[in-house]
Amino acid sequence: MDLINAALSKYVYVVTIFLMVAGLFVVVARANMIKKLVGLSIFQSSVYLLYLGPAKIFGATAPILDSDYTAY
Amino acid sequence: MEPLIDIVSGVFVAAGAFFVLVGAIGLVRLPDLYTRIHGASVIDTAGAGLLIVGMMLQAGWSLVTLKLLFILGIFLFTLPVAGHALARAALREGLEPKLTHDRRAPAGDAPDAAEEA
Amino acid sequence: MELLISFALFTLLGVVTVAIVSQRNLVAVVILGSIYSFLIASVMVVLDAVDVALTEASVGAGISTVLLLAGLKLTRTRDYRGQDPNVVGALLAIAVGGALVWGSLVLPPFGAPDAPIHQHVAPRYIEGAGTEIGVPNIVTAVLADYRGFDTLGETTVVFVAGMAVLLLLRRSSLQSAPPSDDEQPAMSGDLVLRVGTKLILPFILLFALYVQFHGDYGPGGGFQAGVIAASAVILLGLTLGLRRARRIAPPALAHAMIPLGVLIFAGTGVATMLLGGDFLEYAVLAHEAKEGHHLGIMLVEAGVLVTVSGTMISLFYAFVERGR
Repeated sequence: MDLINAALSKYVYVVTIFLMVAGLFVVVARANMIKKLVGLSIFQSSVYLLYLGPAKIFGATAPILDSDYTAY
Repeated sequence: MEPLIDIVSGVFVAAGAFFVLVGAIGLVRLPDLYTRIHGASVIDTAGAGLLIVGMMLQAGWSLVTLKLLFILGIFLFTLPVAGHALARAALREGLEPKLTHDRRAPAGDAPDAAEEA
Repeated sequence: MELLISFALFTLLGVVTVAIVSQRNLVAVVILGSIYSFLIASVMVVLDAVDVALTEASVGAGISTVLLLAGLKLTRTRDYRGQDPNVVGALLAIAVGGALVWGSLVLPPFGAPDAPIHQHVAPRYIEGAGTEIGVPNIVTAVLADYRGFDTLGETTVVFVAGMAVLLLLRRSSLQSAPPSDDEQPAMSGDLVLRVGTKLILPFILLFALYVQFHGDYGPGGGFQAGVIAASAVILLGLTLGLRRARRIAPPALAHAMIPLGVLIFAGTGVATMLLGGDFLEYAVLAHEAKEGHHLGIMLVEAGVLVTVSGTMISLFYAFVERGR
């Protein structure tokens, strides 16, 4: 149960790394330029996920100051 | 009152989700592009409409409800126009619909109708 | 519940990515890329990053798809060459993946409030946005005020990229034929599309202005608003004909807007220097520090709006001119 919890809590990083690897593979291994561009966009989005994943707090809200919420 | 609103909005959201599922199955299983657009339009109108009504019930009387109403208006207006554009582009490119009996006039309403089915 | 939604979205992302890697039809790849961008925007909303989600949805699922499809129109639509199994590429990707997995072992668990990322810089900005600047959207406060210099760099990057693409794609006035009178795209002349576009266009522009000026109080800001405004012009060009689009948003104006935004942004910095403060120190712009911050943020966001929308419109015109 603890192992499952630990695995689930890292799922976002698994997805980030999978997207990064997939984007890198498309850029390196496919010859067509349009595909390379889409692969680059996949890679770029995975970098966004890399920044945003560790910053999430359960029960917090978006970073817009509001009197109803205390955590962002 | 609160649990009643929750139950009713849950029913609406569930119905919307059901219609989205039906539309998705239609997108995959229907035989032709033109029939698949029918499947997609079910998602646009029934699915999105019921989901948004469910969300409006959850939001209560607030600004969020008004914004959801605007979003519903935009969905109901633009998504069928997009489906129409898709079908028109396909017809102009020459994609013939799979018909068992072609009721189109011999002169051809569609720009690229070459022969009757 | 949040966990469940994010799991479902992550799984969908994985499926779409596998489809993009293996598809051969390039139109399908571009549309799958648009679906991917929309899913990433949803994931970002679940991760509470609403500004980034709005930008990703408008840029990735909107403008990028249109420009890629315009590029596809100029080339072929099937990937004929590259489906042979690329072992070196796969090994490289797996090696990089292994290194990343090893690096991610020290990352904090998902959703923990005591992660180091929340301890040092973030509380300073969260408090400062309320007290020093008075802008509820912390992201806009950080983007336009605390890290305004970086945003100036970003706007300059957009400017340089737009210039580079225009230099590559635009034909000189000697080479290109003058715009003919009957250059109607295939979609025009259809009543439903014309009426639909004419009805929805003012609301798109209104929404762009709403996103721009409401960026202090909700998700929004210059980048998103610029992209939405540009998408209105692109819709106009696609459905009502390029001649009318050129009359309403002239290409010369779009080309001039690209550096004008950077000028507005950097000009705000120079104005603050002339008024006695440092570069981009907004507090000197008005009598009271908070008013100065508000004015400064409004000016720089306007600069970003002008540059981004000018770039997107110019790119669209450059692609379409090339295709004639």
